[in-house]
Amino acid sequence: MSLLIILLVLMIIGAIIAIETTNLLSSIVCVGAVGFLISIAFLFLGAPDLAITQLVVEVLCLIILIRATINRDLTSVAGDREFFGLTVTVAMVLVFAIVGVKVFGEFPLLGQPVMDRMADTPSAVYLAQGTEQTGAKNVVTALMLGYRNYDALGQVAILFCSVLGALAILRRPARKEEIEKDQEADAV
Amino acid sequence: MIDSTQKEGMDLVAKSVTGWLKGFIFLFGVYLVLHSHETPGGGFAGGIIIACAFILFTLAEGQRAGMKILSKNLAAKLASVGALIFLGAAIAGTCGKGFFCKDFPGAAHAGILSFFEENAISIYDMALALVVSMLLFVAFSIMAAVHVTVKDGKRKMVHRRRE
Repeated sequence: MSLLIILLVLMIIGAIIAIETTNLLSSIVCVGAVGFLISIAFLFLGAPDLAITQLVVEVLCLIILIRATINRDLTSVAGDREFFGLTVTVAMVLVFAIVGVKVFGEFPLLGQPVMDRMADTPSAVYLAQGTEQTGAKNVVTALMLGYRNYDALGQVAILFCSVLGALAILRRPARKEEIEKDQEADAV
Repeated sequence: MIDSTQKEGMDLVAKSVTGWLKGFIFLFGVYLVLHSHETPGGGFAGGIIIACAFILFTLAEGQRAGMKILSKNLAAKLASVGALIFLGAAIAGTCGKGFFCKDFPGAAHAGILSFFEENAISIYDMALALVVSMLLFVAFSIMAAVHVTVKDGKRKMVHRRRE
């Protein structure tokens, strides 16, 4: 448990550095470090499926983000904060902290399933009958692609929508005309 | 005189290592997908690893060589096929008894339906891996072909020009 706390503290430090640093590349590296620490935390909490997925997604995100940012003209982001925005942020953080403390009081201890408070809960049924009903030895897969298959369908839809959005924004013809327009403007 | 094919991609070391590794990475992704019902892994992780194999090849050998193996349009079509398989299974499950239990599209237990019934989880996993890997490759090829420049104090996304 103490190891988990150390991991959490390191994650928070990494996240703060990622937000506060002015260098875009080191910010991306910090985000990647946070992701890897989450992966280790999943491993220690006994969720190898999640750990593998998190690790792989993190690697891919790092590749794509570094590919998109490295050796570009834009390496640093400079911005001055407005007073109003800062005040609103502080107020929101305070509100969320107060609500969070109240909510965490209601939570069960770490590692104790919420649903086990009642008898005959879905999770107990899934664990007891999942292997027979779905035919998968791995209970995680049995849950994800068996009982909760519509979740997986929703994830596929989300992936499709995100890639479609990227395609729509960055598609070739529209941008090409804009570049030519820019070049003409530069020439003039 | 530098050949134009040598200019594409990374240097010789990266190309050689990629040549050795790409098959093994692809195979590991396929293994994770096909064995997800008994070992940790699954369609998402396996699909991303398959995408990583293609992305590694594209980064090492250059965009043109990568697009020869798997073009953006082909990847998008394969992803659509995977999504249609998934959607078809979902509709079949809604119409029939439901695929959440082992009775895949109803109560039929003969011929090809029994095959689907026995292997439902693996089929969903393969469809998921197809969708995830191909869509992430499409996302990568979009992101890799676009970069950000500063023009008149504003950041703009433009396509990388072919040198």
